[in-house]
Amino acid sequence: MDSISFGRYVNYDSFIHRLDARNKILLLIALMIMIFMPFSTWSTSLIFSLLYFIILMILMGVSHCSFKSFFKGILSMWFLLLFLIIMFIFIPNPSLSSVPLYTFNESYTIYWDGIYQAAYIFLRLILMMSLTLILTSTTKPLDLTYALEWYMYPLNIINFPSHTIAMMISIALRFIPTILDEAKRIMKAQESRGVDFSRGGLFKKVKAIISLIIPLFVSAFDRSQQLSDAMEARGYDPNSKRSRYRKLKFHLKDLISALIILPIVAFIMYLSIAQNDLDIIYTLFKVEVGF
Amino acid sequence: MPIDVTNLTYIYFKKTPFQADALKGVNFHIDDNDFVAFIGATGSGKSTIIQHLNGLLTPSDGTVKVDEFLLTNNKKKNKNIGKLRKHVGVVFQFPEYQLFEETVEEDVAFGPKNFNISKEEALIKAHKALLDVGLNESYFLRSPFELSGGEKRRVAIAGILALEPDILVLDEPTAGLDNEGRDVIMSLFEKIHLEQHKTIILVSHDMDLVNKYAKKVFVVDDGKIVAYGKPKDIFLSYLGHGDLEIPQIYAFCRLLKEKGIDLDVNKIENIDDLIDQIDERIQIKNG
Ligand SMILES: Nc1ncnc2c1ncn2[C@@H]1O[C@H](COP(=O)(O)OP(=O)(O)O)[C@@H](O)[C@H]1O
Ligand SMILES: [Mg+2]
Repeated sequence: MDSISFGRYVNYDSFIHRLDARNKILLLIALMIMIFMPFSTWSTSLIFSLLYFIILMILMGVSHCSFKSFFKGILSMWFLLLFLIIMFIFIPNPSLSSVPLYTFNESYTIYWDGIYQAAYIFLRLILMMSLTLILTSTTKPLDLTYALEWYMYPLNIINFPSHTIAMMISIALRFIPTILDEAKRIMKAQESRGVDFSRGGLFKKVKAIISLIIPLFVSAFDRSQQLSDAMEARGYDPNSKRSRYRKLKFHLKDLISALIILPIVAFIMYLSIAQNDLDIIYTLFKVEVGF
Repeated sequence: MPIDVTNLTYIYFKKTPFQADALKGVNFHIDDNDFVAFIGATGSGKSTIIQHLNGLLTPSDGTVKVDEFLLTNNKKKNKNIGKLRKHVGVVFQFPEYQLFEETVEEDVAFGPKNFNISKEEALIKAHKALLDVGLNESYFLRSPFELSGGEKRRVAIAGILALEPDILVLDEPTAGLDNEGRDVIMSLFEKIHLEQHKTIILVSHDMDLVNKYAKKVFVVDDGKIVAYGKPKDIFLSYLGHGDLEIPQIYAFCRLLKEKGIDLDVNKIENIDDLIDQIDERIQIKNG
């Protein structure tokens, strides 16, 4: 049940909840790019990632995300972390600046850089997760699809069916909870017939899953048929122009948040691309000391 | 198998923003070989109660005791839930959605096979259960998906009957059926109750059926049991105020009373009693 609630929209009224969905998507993409910008040394990259991490944790607190389900989600990725560490430690690391950590039989050396690298990649994954978590738990799924539709709008020129696709996404999102409920119901019904979903050998497991999947598909097809009939009966036509019950609005706070975040992202991209991050940071530091 | 439920409390999504207190201290006892009904408004907690009877839900607090099986909020101690499910068969609302096998007989035999019964024996039990619900040999090898709604439901019920449970729990078994299908299904349960001496626990919105078939009624309201007794006594006590829907015969008596014809409702349990009393009145009037 906890895994289901991960990333689900939670109805609070925070600053981030009130931002325009289009703005949030834009900022999310900008921040993701920022997270993926490497610096000239692993240590700087790691320090910056830790900085991002602290900021994102604060944002998560502001937007009432559940830290418990977030950390549970991270814990469930321990296997990935182990894999990354092993992989990066044993990949030969010819970089000149590498500091050796341990040498086996005078022939194979493990470098600190490998460990930095693994930690950095894992940290980036966590950052991506917390970013998407903030977006999905503060934005109504419907608003998200409206925002996507808005971004896809220019594609209409090349006859791209942006409205149809947005409608498909919003219907799919709308039915995820319904289908999960249905799955729970069917599981209970099959458990009453002696199915054990948590134990049993491979054959029993496969049979158990079949007893869940088939009824789930049957009812999903039934439901989609009914839904399309009902939409048609009420005159739905994907090609005609439609008005909206809820409109997305770009407020002053959207402008302010974009004006704060986008220049920061631009600055960090400049640092990263120009590869003179250390110089600039030293200069900034010196200026501060000078005051 | 007697059932004892003490101080049963259940909270959905405990300790999350979606938390919902569904049961708030429920107590009841059901005798062996009884026919009882749970009635109450939608969302009052009936389905939540019955899902505790075969261990699908674990109590948040309190205990559920079915014969020697004891369920408490300590999940690790609730052993033998698998065995309990063989003794307590639960038929959910719209059970036709649980069908999945290629043929009707295989679907019905699926349950027994899960309890380590050989394939041949499971098929024998399946055929017997199918005949019990009124589906003859011509149905055995058909696909469950090509049957009518009422037939599908009977296949699904047979799927539970094939487990040969001692206690049969039915959550709104007649929902969405036409009048004829309703009567067929209910008389089937009555037959099972009388001939095979199984305990029947019925959840229903249809007060006429409850009045006709149940021996005892529990009224559930807002996660608690607020009344309990014989159907007639329960319905008569609710006759004055409109908290609970009442069977048509009592509603009819109420209308007659408003027109000045006061029948002796305490002597009315079914439609024949009602007809007799009206007949009596007519004869008195005609002199
Ligand atoms: N799966 C569930 N998740 C969360 N809340 C639920 C769930 N099932 C039922 N509830 C809540 O528990 C209460 C009792 O529901 P239920 O037992 O289904 O009532 P009934 O069967 O009498 O209609 C309701 O308030 C309902 O909203
Ligand atoms: Mg119910």
